[in-house]
Amino acid sequence: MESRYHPGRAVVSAIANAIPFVILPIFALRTLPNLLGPFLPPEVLSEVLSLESIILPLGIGVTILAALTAFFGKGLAGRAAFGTGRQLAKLAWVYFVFTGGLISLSLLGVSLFLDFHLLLYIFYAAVLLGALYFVVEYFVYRRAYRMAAYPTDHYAGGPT
Amino acid sequence: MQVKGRGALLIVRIAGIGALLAFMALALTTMALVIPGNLEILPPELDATSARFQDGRVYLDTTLGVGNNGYHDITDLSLFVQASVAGIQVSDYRTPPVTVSVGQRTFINVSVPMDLAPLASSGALIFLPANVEFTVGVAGTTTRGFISFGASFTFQQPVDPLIPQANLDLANGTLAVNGTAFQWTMPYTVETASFLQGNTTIRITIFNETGVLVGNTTAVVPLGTLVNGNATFQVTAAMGLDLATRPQNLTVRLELVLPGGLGVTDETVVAWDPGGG
Repeated sequence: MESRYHPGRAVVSAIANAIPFVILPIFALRTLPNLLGPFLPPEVLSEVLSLESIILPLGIGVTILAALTAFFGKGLAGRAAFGTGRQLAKLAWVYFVFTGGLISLSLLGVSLFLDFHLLLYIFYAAVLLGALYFVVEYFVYRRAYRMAAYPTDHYAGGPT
Repeated sequence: MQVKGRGALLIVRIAGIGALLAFMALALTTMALVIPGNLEILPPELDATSARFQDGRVYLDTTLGVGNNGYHDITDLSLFVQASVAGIQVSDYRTPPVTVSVGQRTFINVSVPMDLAPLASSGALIFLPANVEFTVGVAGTTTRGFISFGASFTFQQPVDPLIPQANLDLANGTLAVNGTAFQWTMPYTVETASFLQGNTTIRITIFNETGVLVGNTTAVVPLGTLVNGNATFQVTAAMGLDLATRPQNLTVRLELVLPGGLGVTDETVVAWDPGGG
């Protein structure tokens, strides 16, 4: 019988999610002033650097939720709940870091705007389908998990 | 044990991965536009040297060039120009949208119309040089409409007036008796911007310091050049004697109608001294 809890998978998942949602973005933000500092106006630079206050809490949230999701086995309510939460945290991370898909800035007398919120909708769809996956997975594996965990319980797999 | 519903799980998983791959493909192919050389923009130049006058409007002719070496067509691309003089808007123009396909380089010829009629009352740009504040921008969409972009730039361009000089030389006027009335002749100078074409009729009216009409006259002058001429006024005997005997401030009103019906008026108060004139 498969184990109900997976501490090893939790660590791997935490690292796998920390890299794109915390480590790489923070590394990029810390490197940015050295690379583009002379070319960017101070107000734009400070605005970009202020993203750290969004990336850190939401990124750490994604990492913790990812670890908790991987910690629970398939068919456990914890996995479904934390998995859905992880996906919503990813959605929030992308929404706030990319300012909802609308970026406008003034640079050396030129005003620029980039509206890619429609493109982000595709990403949101992917993230929400990921959340749906955990919900569907819970119902698909719930009965199997209960039959394995409580073989003598004749209510196992029944509606709760 | 057999797990039922794995098919549904697989469908959700595939749909999710498919959406993520579609997002990444669109995002990466769009980001290719920022690679130097993939998006070429030849910005439009706007200055008075490209000005022409037609139907009562000044048109500034310019060209916007766009080259697209990316992965997606650029659609709904348009250039917009806003111009104002002394806070008065004289132009708010947007070109019809065009599509720049992948691998294509397009040049959009633009004639930006500037309506000077709102300036007629203020005189800015008509008789005085002025800074025209331009806001020039481009906007468009790409990546199958998923991404909209735009850039705009504001700058000021000093522009010479349409009528650099329009003077009536009262000091060199001559007052002569003509029967029972007086004939008052004086030189005038009218200079108009070189891009103006055709003829116009100027009307000169002179009032004395109490606002009573002294005389008026009209003259046809060619536009786009410096014109020196003589204006002749028929003045009544009483008014002629008044002018000949005492110095006073006279109001000279100059009315000029440019092609297209743009009427401009300039009014100045000139000291008249019969001893010096």
